[in-house]
Amino acid sequence: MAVSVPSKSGERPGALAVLWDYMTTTDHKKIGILYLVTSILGFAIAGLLAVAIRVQLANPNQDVLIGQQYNEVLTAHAALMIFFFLIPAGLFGFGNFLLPLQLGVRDVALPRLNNFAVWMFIFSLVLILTALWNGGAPGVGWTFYYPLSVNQSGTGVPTLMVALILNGLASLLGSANFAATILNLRAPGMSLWKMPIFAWGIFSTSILQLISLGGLTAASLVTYLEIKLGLSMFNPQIGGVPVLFQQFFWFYSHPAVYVMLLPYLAIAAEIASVFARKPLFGYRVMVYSLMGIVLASLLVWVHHMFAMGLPSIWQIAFAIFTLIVAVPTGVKIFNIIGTMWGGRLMMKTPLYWVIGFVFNFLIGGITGVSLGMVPFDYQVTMSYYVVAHFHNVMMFGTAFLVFGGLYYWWPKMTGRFLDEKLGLWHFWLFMVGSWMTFLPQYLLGLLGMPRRYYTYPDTNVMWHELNFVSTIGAFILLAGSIVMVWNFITSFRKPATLGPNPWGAYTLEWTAASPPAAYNFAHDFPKTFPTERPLYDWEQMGAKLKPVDPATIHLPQPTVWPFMTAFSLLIAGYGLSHGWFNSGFGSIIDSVNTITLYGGLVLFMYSLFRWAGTFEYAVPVHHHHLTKYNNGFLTMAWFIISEVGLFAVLIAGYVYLRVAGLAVPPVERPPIWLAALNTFILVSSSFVVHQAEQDLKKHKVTRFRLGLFITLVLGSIFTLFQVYEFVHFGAESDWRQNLWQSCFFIIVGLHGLHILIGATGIALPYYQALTGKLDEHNHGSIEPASIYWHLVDVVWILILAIFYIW
Amino acid sequence: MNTFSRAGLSRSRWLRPETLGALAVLAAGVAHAQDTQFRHLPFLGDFGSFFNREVWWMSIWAIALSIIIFIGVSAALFYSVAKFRERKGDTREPAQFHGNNTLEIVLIVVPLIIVTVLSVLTVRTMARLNTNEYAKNVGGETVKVEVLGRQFWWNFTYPDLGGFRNGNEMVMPAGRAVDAIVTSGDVIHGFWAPNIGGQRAAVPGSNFQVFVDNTRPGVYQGNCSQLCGASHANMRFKVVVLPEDQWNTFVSAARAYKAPTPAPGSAEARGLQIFLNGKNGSPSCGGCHRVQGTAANGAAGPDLSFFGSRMTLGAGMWEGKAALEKLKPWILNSPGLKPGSLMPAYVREKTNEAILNDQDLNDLQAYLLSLKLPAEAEYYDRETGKFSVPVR
Repeated sequence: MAVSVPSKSGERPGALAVLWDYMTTTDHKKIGILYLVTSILGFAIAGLLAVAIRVQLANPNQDVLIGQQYNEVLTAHAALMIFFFLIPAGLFGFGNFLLPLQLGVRDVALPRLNNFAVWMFIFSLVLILTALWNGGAPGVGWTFYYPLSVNQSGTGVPTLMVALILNGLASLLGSANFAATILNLRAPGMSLWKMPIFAWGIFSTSILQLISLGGLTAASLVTYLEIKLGLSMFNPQIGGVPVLFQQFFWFYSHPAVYVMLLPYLAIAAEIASVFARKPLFGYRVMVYSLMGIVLASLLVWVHHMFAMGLPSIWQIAFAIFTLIVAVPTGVKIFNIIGTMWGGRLMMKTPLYWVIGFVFNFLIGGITGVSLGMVPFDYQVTMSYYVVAHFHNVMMFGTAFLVFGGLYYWWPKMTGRFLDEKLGLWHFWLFMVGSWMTFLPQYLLGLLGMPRRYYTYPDTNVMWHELNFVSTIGAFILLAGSIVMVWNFITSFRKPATLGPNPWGAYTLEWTAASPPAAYNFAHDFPKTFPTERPLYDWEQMGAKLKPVDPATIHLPQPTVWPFMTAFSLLIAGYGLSHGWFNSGFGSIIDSVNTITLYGGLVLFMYSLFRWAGTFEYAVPVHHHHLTKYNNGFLTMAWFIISEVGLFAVLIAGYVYLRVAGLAVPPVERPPIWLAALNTFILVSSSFVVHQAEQDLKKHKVTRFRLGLFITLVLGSIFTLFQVYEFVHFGAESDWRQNLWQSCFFIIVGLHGLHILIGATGIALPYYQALTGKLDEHNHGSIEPASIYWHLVDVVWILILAIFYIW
Repeated sequence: MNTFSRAGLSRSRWLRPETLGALAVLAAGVAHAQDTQFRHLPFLGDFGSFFNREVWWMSIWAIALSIIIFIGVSAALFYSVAKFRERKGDTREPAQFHGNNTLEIVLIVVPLIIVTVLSVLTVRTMARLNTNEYAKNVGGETVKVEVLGRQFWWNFTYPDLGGFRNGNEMVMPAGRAVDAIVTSGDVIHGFWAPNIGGQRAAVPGSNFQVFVDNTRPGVYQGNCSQLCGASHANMRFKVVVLPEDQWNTFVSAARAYKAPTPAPGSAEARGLQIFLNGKNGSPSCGGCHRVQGTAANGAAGPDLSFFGSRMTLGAGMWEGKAALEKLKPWILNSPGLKPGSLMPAYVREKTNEAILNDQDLNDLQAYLLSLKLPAEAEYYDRETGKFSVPVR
């Protein structure tokens, strides 16, 4: 393996060298490319699976894919399209490649964290694939409703759970990184209100991810714990509520729909403005409507559950918010049309995709409103009407803008245009194919065909005809995809000859070379930003870019340790998916599980410390940031929102079970005196770590080290007390039989895990201090570690109140 | 048929649900004039149901507004593409305007007004569908039916009518509201027969209520609507809506029903033996299935009390003649015929040798087919393959 094949031409590096480069890179553009390539791959696989589904459904009573096999294919189709195409392509693919370029900076806030996030994202896909030889692919739908998820024991469900948690963590770190980048790193003079609309799209989407993703993590975590340990919040046999799972799940998975929409709406706005040769129509209103969608989308999740027998008042409240979402979304559509209005429309492929999107999304939006009308929803929810609706907004809605974005930014990414003629073929095949595939599905829904059916009888009027047309449509889409891939491939046959700004666009990424150099810009920008279109304004003003000698630019040094840290989580994740801590060495499979689990955790610690012990920059660099907070602190502050979200979702679930009288505490509860003592220990440690941070600022390094040491000792004592308490309480009764006890172990146990994570966080700057890695240019990771520790402390006080006192 | 023309709403004829419903049925009928009698049109446009009429009166406003919005917005889109597209040699710079606040406010306020109208309609319709208003509007006495979904079949129990049960075929009176209480014995299922009303999820540990009805007697198609495992697509049921007099006959017969005692030595008697006791230690049928009036009282499989009077097999996988042909293979090896079926296979795993021989299967079939309601109470006649009411 280690022998690298010598490359034939002297200029092109070998495949292994390229791989090594991508493994160790901190370059946001390469990371963006990794996301985009993975996304296109995800789209290709999921698309082929969709064709398989359509082949099975072309005629009644077929047996191409039957029963569980069909369910596995449809689960993979949905999970890939959502988690490995639509979410990452826009937010992280385009986001990583373009955000720093559009802001006129050299990289994101934490470039090495970015490397970790992209590889963990890729490894979460690899982890799902390991389910294939370990119980088979999960066949429970991407929604993995309880109790179907635990009913199919021995299948790949736990793998999917672990993979989704790791994928979510990667997604959160990426989102926090973006939010910190936007607040801390912008070209001098660019205020938030002068950012390109795409940057706002990324900002709003990141905020939405950070607030809501806890729902999915909670749903996956509790499902996983029930499969592995029998800990449950949903099991009706001990008083749990299966529908609570759906509350958790949709609390994220509805907002996720907007995560799959907002970046693309912003891409549409960028393209519309450039190809109409005009400013955006209502820039501020568009930003407000992005934020409005973020807010409204957090309050509509129950509309996935109208047929779940919830109280009418809930249904009404959520129905009204569902209808209200149409207002800001409508604003976006109107403003895209307004941007084109009165312009000089350059009819190139990117604009075709935008026009196609607006028209298709209009239909998807209207049918979406119809689904918000609850009594109609009672009829068509879980039917093909819903399938048609969400493909209408995602497949021939936002996916059109993935392509629009690719055609628009391909010259920037590669220095070459995509072919216009092939592009139009691609567009029209997709337009016709989408309509043929999905419009019949609206009718199928009205004609009573439920979704997720692997077969249907020939006795229902029109089911066969409509399904057959839909299948033909799917093949037209397949043809369109082949044209797309062909277009990508042929574009590389031409030399990269394009200049920085082939479209005559208006934002800063178009001042960089095509493709951009590693350092992005060999110039500084004028410091005045009259509108969100700096290049247009500067041309009018006659302002010039100021050249900078690239030799004076310092970039973060490549390092393999973030990659290794992500890799170790894949290894440990494998063990956690297929085994458990007590797997032992009874058989070969058990041994593999045990070794991967413990080995992965050891490798994780090792890699993480090596990462912390490697300087970000090879030479001392002075960091500029726009706020008074450093990048690490700011990223962690945003990340903490997601932790609060996770605990909020779980605790809300517990409080509901408790108030509804379903989770009743046993007579013998964990003693309050021990919890009180633990509270004292933890609160003290927060003060100690705060003092240590102050000491470092005053350059009292010895006192700083001592402070961190004391914090670690206090954290260990807390953990020991809690282990004692858990062992004692776990032995007293069976948590499988008591809902309160189950909730206690899930939530307090999760907090315990956070203590360990927080302590690891504290140990990193301690290690940096011990090895002399902290100086005036390198502040290490004390600030993020410290606020994370405070978070863990605050959550504990809440837990004390709701589990030990209440 | 007299309850749904409501004062205050438009009375123009083409808007009336009867007209539209008839049109849809007509269109379907034309397309399939030569079809067998078992052709269904599962359709939420079946205005025999109060539920669907209410949804229609709510939706018509939404549909009208949708058409206006669709035409308006797409006209604006295509007009701007046609009018403002770049002509050859055109290099003028378009006017650089940044927006129009008045227009923005209009484009926010108008959708808000529309949303308000739709919200009011939604809430009003919900109030009529989810409460006892429903029964009041349909008229007549409400019938309570407990709907149980399991992997992968249905049981319908009539608790106020002596507690008789029917598996996979739900019988109800025409023109009366059915108060369906929906639950599940394992994973989540979805109870949905569009011709009689909306869906309700069947969730373990919960009892959810949904009112359904249809004024037109007939046989309608129902399906499971929540992914529930390998045979989610094979979890169908029939809804048999009977005219009042037939319904009364059916109910009194079903209440009084006791499974016939077979003559000693007959095939049915041998079948009953296997049904109750199994063979060579294999699980008995009665351990999972219930037959009213016998010792068989299992609850892990669908109720078989009136099996001989039923039209479907395997939760709607086979109907009519096919159901009869598949009965013996089904008994022998249910999971081999229906993915994920939890009914045990009567075939030894290792040797692939049948536990039940042909004779046993014939006996069981004879016994099962003897489980019939009195002829006057049957809604389906196995010999002629005909329902007493039209299949819709």
